[in-house]
Amino acid sequence: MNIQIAQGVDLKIIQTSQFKNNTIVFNFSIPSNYKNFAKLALLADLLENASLKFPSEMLVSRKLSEMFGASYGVTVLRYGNQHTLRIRLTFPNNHYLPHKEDLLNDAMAFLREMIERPFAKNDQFDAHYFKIHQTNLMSYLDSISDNKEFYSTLQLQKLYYANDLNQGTYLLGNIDSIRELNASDLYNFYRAFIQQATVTVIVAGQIDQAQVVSRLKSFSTLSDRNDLGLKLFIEPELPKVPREKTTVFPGSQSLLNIGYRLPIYFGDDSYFAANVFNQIFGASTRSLLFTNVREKASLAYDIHSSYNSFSGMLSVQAGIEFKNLSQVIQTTDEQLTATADMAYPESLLVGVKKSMINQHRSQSDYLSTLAERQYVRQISGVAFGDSQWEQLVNDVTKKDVAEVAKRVQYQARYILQSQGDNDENN
Amino acid sequence: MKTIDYASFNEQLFVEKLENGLTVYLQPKKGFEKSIAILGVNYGSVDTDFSINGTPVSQPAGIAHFIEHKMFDKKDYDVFELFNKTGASANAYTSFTKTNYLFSTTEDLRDNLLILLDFVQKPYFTTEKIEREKGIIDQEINMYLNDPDNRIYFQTIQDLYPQSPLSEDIAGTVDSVSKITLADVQRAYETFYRPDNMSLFITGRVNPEETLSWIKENQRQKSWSVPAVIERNLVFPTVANDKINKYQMAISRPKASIGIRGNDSVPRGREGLAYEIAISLVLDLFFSETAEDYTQLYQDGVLDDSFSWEFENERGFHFAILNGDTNKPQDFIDKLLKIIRQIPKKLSGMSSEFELQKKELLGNYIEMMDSEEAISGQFDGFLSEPLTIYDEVGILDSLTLEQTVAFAEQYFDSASIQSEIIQAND
Repeated sequence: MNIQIAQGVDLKIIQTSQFKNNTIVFNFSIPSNYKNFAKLALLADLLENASLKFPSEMLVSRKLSEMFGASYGVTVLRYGNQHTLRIRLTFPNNHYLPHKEDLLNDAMAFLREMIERPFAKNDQFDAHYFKIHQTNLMSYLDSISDNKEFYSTLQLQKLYYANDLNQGTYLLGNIDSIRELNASDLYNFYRAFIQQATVTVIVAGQIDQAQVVSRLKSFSTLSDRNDLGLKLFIEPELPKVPREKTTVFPGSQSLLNIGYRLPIYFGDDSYFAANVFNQIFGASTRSLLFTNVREKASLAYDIHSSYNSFSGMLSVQAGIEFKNLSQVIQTTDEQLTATADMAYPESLLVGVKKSMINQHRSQSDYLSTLAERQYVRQISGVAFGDSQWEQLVNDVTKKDVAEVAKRVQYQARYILQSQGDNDENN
Repeated sequence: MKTIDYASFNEQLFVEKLENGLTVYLQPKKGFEKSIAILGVNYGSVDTDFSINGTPVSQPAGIAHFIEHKMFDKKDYDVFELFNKTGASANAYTSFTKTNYLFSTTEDLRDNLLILLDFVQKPYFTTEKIEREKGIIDQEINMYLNDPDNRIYFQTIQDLYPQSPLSEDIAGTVDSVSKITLADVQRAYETFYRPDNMSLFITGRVNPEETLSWIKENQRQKSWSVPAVIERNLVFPTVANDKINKYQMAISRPKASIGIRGNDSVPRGREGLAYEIAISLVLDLFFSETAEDYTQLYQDGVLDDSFSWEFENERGFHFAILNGDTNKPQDFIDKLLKIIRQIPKKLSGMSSEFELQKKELLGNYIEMMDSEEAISGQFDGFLSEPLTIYDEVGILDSLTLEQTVAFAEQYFDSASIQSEIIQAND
């Protein structure tokens, strides 16, 4: 059910009685611009942990406890070219509460408080509160280098989009850009953001629609706004020559990250073939990379590929011993060639398709998936029904997969080389 | 087949103990697409010392996890290949006291179920295959060693339970794994992989009558030797109290943790679950965002969002671990220890907080009821009676503050506490 609350503010309601919980998701989207990354990242923390009525983490948490442990969270996300602030509240359905307490009114009032009345006075966030979250976010950014897999994924992204800060920059910004923020500028940014961003509200569960609509209409911030002309797909200008970089760190295992351009987007004719390709190449435990690099050649503890259909990027990550580096690169190339040459058993194609369909059906057992699928439908304008989705997967042939493989272009390679590996070799 | 009704949640559990001793639990979820089946073995990493008909046996650390890996490796195929054909996704994991084999699928439940029962109940062990596996496990151990959060977690347990099977990582060490022989693997398998030491839990899309008939038919075709008298010898030497252990590692931010080892004896079954829920609730009352002391430490920058705690209540032992990243590790430990010492005394005056926390926990359980992973993951098939999350809600509901204070005194007053600080390398 589609309802327009105001110009640029849309509501989608999904009615279902399958679940014992309800969820409300606000998405505020603007075009990706790296100058806003640090701002929205810190705003997410500031909107999550306090408001004027609940001026501390403790008071917010106690309010959530009163609403039977409702879970409330604010995050930032990247959907291709879109930068999205997401505010979400999930709470139990009244049928399953001891006195059938209806939490919907309470939930909407809570969300309105958190969105419209941030913990600020005189047009600036509370100074102490601001400082704590600024420091915590900087500490978090500082600790990312301890998570080698994630750290090297970010480094690859930077290298891959060497010409494009909007895509190459980590979505939460960096320590310097967080440090530069101040409580009053950020507050003013938020006020403008909330009036301008394109808003999509998704509500799923057993929900009284009229009540949701009337509650949303009472939000003073959800007024008419201009169309931002949001684009979804990233069509990057990439460096002409592939970029390569190696960093040495103390540790016991090295990581190889490879980035490829795969210019096929969500909803394209080849979209399903691209997904099947990714599964065959490296995304699943039955894939060629997993089977031939890890299982047969024992060259990697872990190896997998991922494909992002909003950015048209394919990447591979492998945990390896550094001495095997060139062999892993070569074996990875061979698997790509094998997909292009259709040199793999038909049973792999059949198994991958079955598994994709299995996964797709499995995912519909989550309330959050229903909300997420609805959101992607909204921003992409592309809707696949469940049976259509399955049919399109089943229709993919080996030849289709080969055509996809031929469009894969190597762009960047980032290696995190462990010092320990190096010592062993010397 | 016994049926248990959970009328207020509109759910049912079907239970049957088969002639060979295997206990089957079926919990259908209406409207769900997916089925999850977990075949659990009551055997984990701590079960390295035991006696068979009075003869003592001592095995290398990591053997339970090693066997878990080996179960997938058959004469001329890998079990994952079978699941690849059906499209199901399969997995396995070993904990301190259990080994679980599981799959999830949206179709062909019967085929997948038979694969699961057969691969776990029909091993194929050879010296050659065992030697080959060691290289793979070594890489896995190295990967854990690379992860600072994993390191501090196991270091805390090691300092709480020195010179015991709990002081080793679940996967063992490169050295202990190198000592595993074919005879060790066969002996452990014959001792613990018996139907009377296993349970099968299925939730999601499942027809109880039909599914049980498939299982019965499969089990009828197999036979087992006469059971021996098995005694597990799990002894924990006493440990010095209140010691702070310091380590160094290549990390960007210091990490601190506090381990609280329970020395009281906890019954299994319903009473044990009440104890577990009560202690978890107490830890929430003092160490979650709803707690005043916690909020103060957060405000003072002693801890941040990386902080978390967990309470493990397992066969033969129970402990809590509180940990986080902090720039003030000594403060972190001193201040948390001070709070811990005051818990039993302060608790009796916290009736309104207690009731609020019960409300929150009830909501958390209702949230879990929408997740087949949570329903199956939370279930322990080796208690004297079946206790699902629907039972846990009942236990929570009848839990009083007085009872909780009694449990807290029992636990905290006799506990041994060890703390850890991991600093960055000089």
